[in-house]
Order: sequence, then structure tokens, then C-alpha cells
Amino acid sequence: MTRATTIAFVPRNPMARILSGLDRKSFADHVAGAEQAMQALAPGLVQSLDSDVGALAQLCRQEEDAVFGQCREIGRLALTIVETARFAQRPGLALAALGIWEMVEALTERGVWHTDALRLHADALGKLMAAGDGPEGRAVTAELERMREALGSTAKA
Amino acid sequence: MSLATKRLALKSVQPLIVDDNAQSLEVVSAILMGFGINRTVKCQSTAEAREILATRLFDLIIVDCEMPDEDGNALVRHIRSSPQSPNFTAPILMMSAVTPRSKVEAARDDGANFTIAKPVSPIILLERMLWIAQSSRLFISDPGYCGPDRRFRTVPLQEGVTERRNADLILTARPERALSQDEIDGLFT
Repeated sequence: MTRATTIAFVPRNPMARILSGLDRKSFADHVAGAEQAMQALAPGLVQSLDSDVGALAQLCRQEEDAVFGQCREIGRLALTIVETARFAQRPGLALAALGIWEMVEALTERGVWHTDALRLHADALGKLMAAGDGPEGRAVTAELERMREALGSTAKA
Repeated sequence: MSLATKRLALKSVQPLIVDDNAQSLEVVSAILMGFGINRTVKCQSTAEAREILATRLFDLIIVDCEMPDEDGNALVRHIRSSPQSPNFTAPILMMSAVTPRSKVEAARDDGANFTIAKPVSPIILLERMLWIAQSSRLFISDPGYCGPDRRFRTVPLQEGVTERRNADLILTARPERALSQDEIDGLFT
């Protein structure tokens, strides 16, 4: 007898018990509890943005060889800033950091590298930290977006 | 019943979160804690996660896509490649701060149940957990793919193509007739 190589089955669903278990609370109550727990973390996370942006700027200010050599660390840090900035409702900051991540991705995927654009984005992060998402911050964001468009990036607001 | 009033018992859920970003790990952990889940296991590397996954059974695995050394996709492939592992069919949610179509498709093709965008929102996470809880989605084990059935839409087969799932569909059409993992394994031993 030949055995089939493809098997389809319905596995045990360990999550199914949440529908019938004891001590059930409403969906809305669960969400409210989670939002409260997140709010408690917010001040610490927002504070960490400042040091992460400083560390990223420092990495990008190195000699070109060193920047190139540490592009993975730069990308990781940029992604951390993206996540925290979104959490802190700082879209301009998140977008600029996303631009840096995309440049690092462009290097690993297509071999494209733009040191000057990377440095400019890192410097802009510092400006955006200070300027916030007001008119000055929006102007910086718009300029960065134009630059990324010219470089073929997809990171947009 | 509206979604907001749907009642759920989350306290006993045992999830695993894998994320190298300590801040993100804390945020997701805080969300789960806010849901009343206090048995969350946290890992900051896939190597650490592999060790724990080999011995402990989890109800839900939440994995970040972008991690240094080995990324989240590789961890998902690892989980789905070990039929003897306790977590072979465990629901897996991927998280990613960057979600182009290619990344979402890659996560799906590696065997993840869903991909959610970072920062994780409590509503989205809970909706996905509820979706998984209510689902009786088929699990496909094939040399080319292991994971939840990727076909959400039922479209007619092309002319001349036979339905290879007929026997399975009959067996799994009613939940009480569905084979458990142990029963399936029993057919091959």
C-alpha cells in the first residue's frame, strides 16, 4: 500500500477552551485591562527613544567603512525606534527610522548603499525628537520622504 | 452577541513570546498580562526558544519576524518541521514592524497562522486569538508545506484536477469525526 504524502487533519485546538472556560470576562474588559497595562509602560518606553536615537546617530557618524560594517546593528536599532515611536504616537520619527531600516534592507537584498542618505536620516531623527510632529517636524518628514522617493524607497506616511 | 460583549476565559492560556527587542517583549507581555494571562514565557532569542519548545507545550506562540542571527521565519519553519515536537500544530502569530506583502506571504508559507503589525494592539491581538479559538482550520502536513491550510476561499478545481482532500474532508467535516493528532500519528506507526 502506498502512503499518501499529504495529510490534512484538524488538530487539537488548545485555544478553544477560552470560549467555554470558567471565569470569563468580556472582550471589552480584556482590551481595557491590556490598554491600562500598556499605559503603565509608556513613560519608560518614550524615555528610551531619546537614548536609542542618540546611539543610532553615533553609529551613523562613524567612518564609512565602520558604518558599512555595522549596518546590521544600525538596522536593528532603527527598527527598535520604529516600534517605540509608533507606540509613542510619533509617526514622523517612526517613518524616518523606517527609512533607515529600508536602506539597510536595500543593501542586503539588492546591494544598494547610500551612506549620505543614511547619515542625513540619522541626523534628522535628532531634529524630529526635538521638533516633534509640529510644522517644523512635518517639513523635515516631507524632505526625507522626497529623498527616499528619489532613492526608490517605499517608506511613506 | 457583539464582539465587545463576547466572554472569554484567558487566565489559563500558556503563551510563548519570542522577540529580541526587550521593549517589544515587555509590551506584548503587558498586553497578555492585561488579558489576565500570567503564565507567559518570554524568550529573547530563537536558540532559547528552540530549547523550551522541545520540552514544553504552549497554547499560542507569538514570534517576531526580524531577529538577529536566526529570524522568526526560521523558528516557525523549525516548529513546523518536527511532527514529534509537542508544538508541531500550535497556533503561531508572527509580529513584524515591517509588513510588505512578501513578508506576510513568507510567514504564511512558513506555517504561521497570522501576521500582526507592530506595535501590537490589544484589540488586534485578542481578535486573532479569538479567531484561532473559534477556528477548526485544517492542518496540512506535506513535504513542501506544514501548517494551517492556506486556502481560505473555496474555488472550483480546474478541469481534470481531482480533489486530493476528499477523504480528509469527509473525516473532518464534523468536529466529532475529526482525527486527533494522536490518531493521525497512529496511522503511520
